[in-house]
Amino acid sequence: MKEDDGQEVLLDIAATISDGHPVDWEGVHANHPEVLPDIPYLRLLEAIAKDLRDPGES
Amino acid sequence: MRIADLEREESSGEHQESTASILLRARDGDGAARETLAGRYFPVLRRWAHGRLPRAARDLVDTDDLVQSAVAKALLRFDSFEPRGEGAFLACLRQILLNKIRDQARRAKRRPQHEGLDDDLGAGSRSPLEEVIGRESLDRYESALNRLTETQRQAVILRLELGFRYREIAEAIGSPTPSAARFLVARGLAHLSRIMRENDEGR
Repeated sequence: MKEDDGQEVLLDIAATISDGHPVDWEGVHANHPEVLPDIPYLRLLEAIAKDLRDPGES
Repeated sequence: MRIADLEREESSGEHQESTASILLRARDGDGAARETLAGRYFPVLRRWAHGRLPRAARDLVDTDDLVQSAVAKALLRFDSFEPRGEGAFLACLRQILLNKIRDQARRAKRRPQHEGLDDDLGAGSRSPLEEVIGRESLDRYESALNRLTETQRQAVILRLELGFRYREIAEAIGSPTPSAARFLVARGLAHLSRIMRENDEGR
């Protein structure tokens, strides 16, 4: 099922973000069109997680 | 994360007394336990608050003072706090701190010398995190966070915002294993992204 596939990919990306590993966004773009609309939101979560790990000098 | 990493997390239980046990003692009014709790949470909350306090507000309040007063307030509420565990306590503490930061941001904005801070040049009105992801995005995230289940919300906050290890999250929210806690965080993040997307599409 397309929708289920999307959920699984979403979960994989979410786990990668949670683990603090880099997400292969180009690969996601190329191979998982079903989650393209979710990418901006996943990147937002990635940015929040990254900010925690590498807080800027402020 | 590899299974080996998770197993290492699982076996590296170098925690002295468990936080759950300290929470129980603190709830019973044990002053030493309360101090231990405050000391345990202070560094992580200080870092969290630092990223969220607008630069302009730092003239008004010291981050350390803000965190200390939030911890003190949370501990004051302790007597009426339901025994739902460390995850719930930290989520509550985070909310108290967030409210205090918002108060300070409003006060900083009202100061005459900071008029006009909201325009594009007013970087001082934004927190470091807002400078990275934008204020609207942060609001979007906060709003979606409130729509997660309580356990998912706690897991996401502990991992994404406070940097807890999966073993610590499992302990804090009563999850059976670090792997289960990791899955819960991933589910929470996937859910969060879908909520934010739905909110935007529904506008």
